Amino acid sequence: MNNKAELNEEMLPARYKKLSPFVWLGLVVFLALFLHGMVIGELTPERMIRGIGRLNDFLHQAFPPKLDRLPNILKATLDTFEMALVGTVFGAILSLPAALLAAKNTSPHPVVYYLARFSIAFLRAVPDLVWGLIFLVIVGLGPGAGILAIIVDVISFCGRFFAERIEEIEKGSIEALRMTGVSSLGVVIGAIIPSALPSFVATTMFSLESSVRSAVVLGVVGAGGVGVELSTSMQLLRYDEAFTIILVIFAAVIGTERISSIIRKSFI
Amino acid sequence: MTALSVENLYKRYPNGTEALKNVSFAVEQGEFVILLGPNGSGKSTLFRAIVALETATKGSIRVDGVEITTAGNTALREVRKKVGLVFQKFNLIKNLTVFHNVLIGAMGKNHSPLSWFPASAPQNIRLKVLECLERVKLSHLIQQRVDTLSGGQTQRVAIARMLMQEPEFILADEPVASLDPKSGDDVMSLLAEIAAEKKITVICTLHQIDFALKYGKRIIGLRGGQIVIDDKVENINSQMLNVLYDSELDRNRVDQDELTGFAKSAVGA
Repeated sequence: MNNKAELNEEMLPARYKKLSPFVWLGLVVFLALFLHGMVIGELTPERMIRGIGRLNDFLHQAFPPKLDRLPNILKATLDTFEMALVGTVFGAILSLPAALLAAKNTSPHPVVYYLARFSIAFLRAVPDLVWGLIFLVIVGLGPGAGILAIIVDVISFCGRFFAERIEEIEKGSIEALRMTGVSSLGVVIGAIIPSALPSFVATTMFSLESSVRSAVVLGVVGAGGVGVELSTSMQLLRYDEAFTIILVIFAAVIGTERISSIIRKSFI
Repeated sequence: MTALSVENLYKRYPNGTEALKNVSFAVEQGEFVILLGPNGSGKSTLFRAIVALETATKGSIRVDGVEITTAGNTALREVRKKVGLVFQKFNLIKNLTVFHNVLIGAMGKNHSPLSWFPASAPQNIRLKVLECLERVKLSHLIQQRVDTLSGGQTQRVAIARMLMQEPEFILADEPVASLDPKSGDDVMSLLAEIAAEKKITVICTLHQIDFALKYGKRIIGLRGGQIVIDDKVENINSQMLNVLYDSELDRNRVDQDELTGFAKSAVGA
């Protein structure tokens, strides 16, 4: 109490921190990019208001959804789902060896580890649509290109998360099996895969959900399935038909998510 | 016949710690040896060196006549098949069933990958799993997942897995350290029975002196990386054990066991 007199304002913390020149530069760059982005977007209020009128036109033409081509649309949606399924299955299978090379505790050599990590990161750095365009050039139009693009996409996702799960496995359970004189392959089959299986399944199911959405978009650029149908209907201004397609896609994506979540729960 | 001989073993870690200093002893086939010593005495290092999880700096380790310190991968795998390990932390795969975990114990013995999976394993191996589980009195839990078991049950499952190996030699590293006294006693008497009926050589590290005196036939005491006791259990007296755990000899360290001792006498008083 009696040393209250010694308190003075200089003991208070500053109201603002001094920012370093780098932070200032960063803020300026951020602001410049943001403002320029706003300019090129041209999302002016009047344009938005006019847009609401057009949305009204679109919805007016889209209702009621036209069901004439429903059988074709369902068939094309099934194609899309199958593209996603085949791509995810092959992708997940190929992710396993990739992850074993890219996990610290199972990689045969640090060089192999870094190469594997780098390769998986590279696959991820290229967007799936770009992979789709590349494979369209290589194998031509149709679901084949879509499946290949999804395989690459799944490896880039599952490869990384499988590897992280493998690194989390208790050292003891791997050591215990190795100490019974089992080969490295035996350790992978006997300890690593069983311990990580629930997580592998969950990751693969998430991957399937995202693959179904990817497969729709890949279809739009020419890789078969319901995406092609949607792009054709939109271009021909058949909005009632397009609306049916959108509803079917919605149902397919939600359905996949429900099934995926049930499967994930049963594997914990 | 000599099951294990360790001669002039030294282990020095890269940080300069001398974990083992000139350790020599031999264990005859069928002996039940308890290894005692405070934390940091070199017990674990010695254990890991015997199965070549740790490379010795100098000296010789022979298991069944095979020199471990210089053995190649193939020779080492052959030795490891004969040595069953029991761990403090059980080291089972928790999300698998008891059956699957015990089946995995036979992977080293059976080279056919078909025998590695519960679905494709031959009937004789499946029946052997049942026998090993019956030996540890847990055959009724064969379909349970390991993460539903108690600590004592889990350690008995780990022992059943080890029995699938048909080991000639058991190394148990503080097998009861994570268990309550009753479960610990069950596990120790199980190990003693198995060792006696199959004439298996056992080396077991412990922190519990009462278990050591009850189940051991011979006691080896390590302190600061050196053997300070090596005698039949009937010749062991409390003075010798004091040498092992007396903190006066090692003022800079507070020993966990000593603390436990203080706690016990405090509760008694």
